[in-house]
Amino acid sequence: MTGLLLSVVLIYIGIAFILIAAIGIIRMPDVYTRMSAASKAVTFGTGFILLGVVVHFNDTMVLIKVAGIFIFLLFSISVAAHVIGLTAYRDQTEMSSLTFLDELEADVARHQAPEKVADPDKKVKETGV
Amino acid sequence: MEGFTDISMKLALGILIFTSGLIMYRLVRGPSIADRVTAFDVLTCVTIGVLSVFAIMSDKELYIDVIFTLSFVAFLGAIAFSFYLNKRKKK
Repeated sequence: MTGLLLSVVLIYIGIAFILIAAIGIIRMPDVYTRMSAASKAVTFGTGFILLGVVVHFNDTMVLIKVAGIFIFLLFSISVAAHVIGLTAYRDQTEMSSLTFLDELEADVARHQAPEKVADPDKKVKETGV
Repeated sequence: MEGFTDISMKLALGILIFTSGLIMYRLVRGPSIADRVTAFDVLTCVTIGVLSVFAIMSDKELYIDVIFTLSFVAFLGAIAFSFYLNKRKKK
């Protein structure tokens, strides 16, 4: 009976986090902040929901499967958010007017300079050998 | 006690559907394509929540395998989207 109540409580905590993520997706000013809000809150919320499932079933096999799912989600959500953010940056998606720091700008500008694009890899190889 | 779980799971399902409605707004309206991909990614996680609630409602562990597959497919979807967006940019 305590387990039943605990699983319901855990699932409601997870759902609250997912609801917060959805509100963040609607209210945040630009793509990058939206992505940040979404990926973090959703990871946490999904983790709580899966924990609720484990508590409900109270079974070792379920625990192993859910642990696998959660570890995979932990990697996949963050990697996907990173890759989508980089794509948005390369697509030159507009930032919010509140943004005051763009640390990627210098790196991307250097990488796109015509004479230096081909060099870095070669130099590394030559010095390495 | 069974009734309590049933009612609370139905309420949770309702909240999750409301959440997916909120995310759908960004999916339809999103100014850039990255917004849409993000919204789609979050929508998949909401689906994982819905499947978990289904697993508890019907007391079947089979749904957990479905969640496993769904999380793989969602990850590959997001990566594929951004891969082809990058390709389109270079042309």
